[in-house]
Amino acid sequence: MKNSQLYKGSLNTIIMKLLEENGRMYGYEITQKVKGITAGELNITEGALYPALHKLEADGFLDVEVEKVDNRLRKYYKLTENGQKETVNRLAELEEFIRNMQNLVSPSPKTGLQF
Amino acid sequence: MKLTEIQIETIDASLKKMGIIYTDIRTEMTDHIASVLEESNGDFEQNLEDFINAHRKKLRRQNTKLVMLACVKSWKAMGLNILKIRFLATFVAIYCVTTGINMLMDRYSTVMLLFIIFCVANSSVSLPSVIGILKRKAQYSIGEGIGILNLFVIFPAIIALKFVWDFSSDELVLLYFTTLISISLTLGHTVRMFKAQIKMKYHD
Repeated sequence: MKNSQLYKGSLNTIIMKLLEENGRMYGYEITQKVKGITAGELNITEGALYPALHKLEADGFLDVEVEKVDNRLRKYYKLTENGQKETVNRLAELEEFIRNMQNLVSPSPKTGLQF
Repeated sequence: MKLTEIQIETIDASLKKMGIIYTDIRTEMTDHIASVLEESNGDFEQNLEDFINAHRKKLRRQNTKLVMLACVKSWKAMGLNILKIRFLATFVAIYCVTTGINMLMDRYSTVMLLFIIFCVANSSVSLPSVIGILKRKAQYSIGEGIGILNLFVIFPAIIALKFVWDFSSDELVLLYFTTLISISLTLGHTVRMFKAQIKMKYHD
């Protein structure tokens, strides 16, 4: 990952967005999905992912299901009803943030401007 | 290549050896490491050793973070239970009983009886956690063990035994013990709540 600091604040929103799209996922699956979507640019470490998942669960945004898969127990996470509402809000916030950053970094020429 | 049950147990044992004692955290770490190792070629034992050596510090740091989060979650649940009507109802019921006792006995006898009631309530909550820890019984989460913190509530009760005679009125003494007993019972309720959640998660 080129600059992890830039992505840190958006980790929860990324997780919630993925769960919204995929229904339920487990930790390793999330890391691989993010890696795939960003062509290896964004690599979520387990040290950042699991505390984020546990925090979202404690806040009531995620539900956990434990299942036995391939000789071991696996924890699947899915959005709760509150989590689904929160995802919509956080995505709207993130989109607004991206728009503002875009305007700051490369402002588009104002349309009514005359020389 | 899918890992065998014995190989999964080896990963779990390695994590346990590193001090990752809570099953709720270890389950997830074991699955993560198993998923990583399933994608690598070569000798399993060597791959596991390499992974643990490369990630030892990170895994320990992650464990600490998750334990802290579980602690915060437990105390948040305890706080929310105190704000519930159930706590108020328990408080009122205990206060009525203690007032009744106080009408029948003098202050000294009332205080001693309330202290015994408090000790029974407190032990019923904290003893299972203490025994679990002493027997090194596998614990799913720190939420199961928070009952042990009830032991700390004993101190204000013992201190009260010393200063209770300075209280200006009997009502203050009754309120003091009612509060301590209610807190103990609420902590017990919180522990039971966590155990039920864990049972639902892992034993369904």
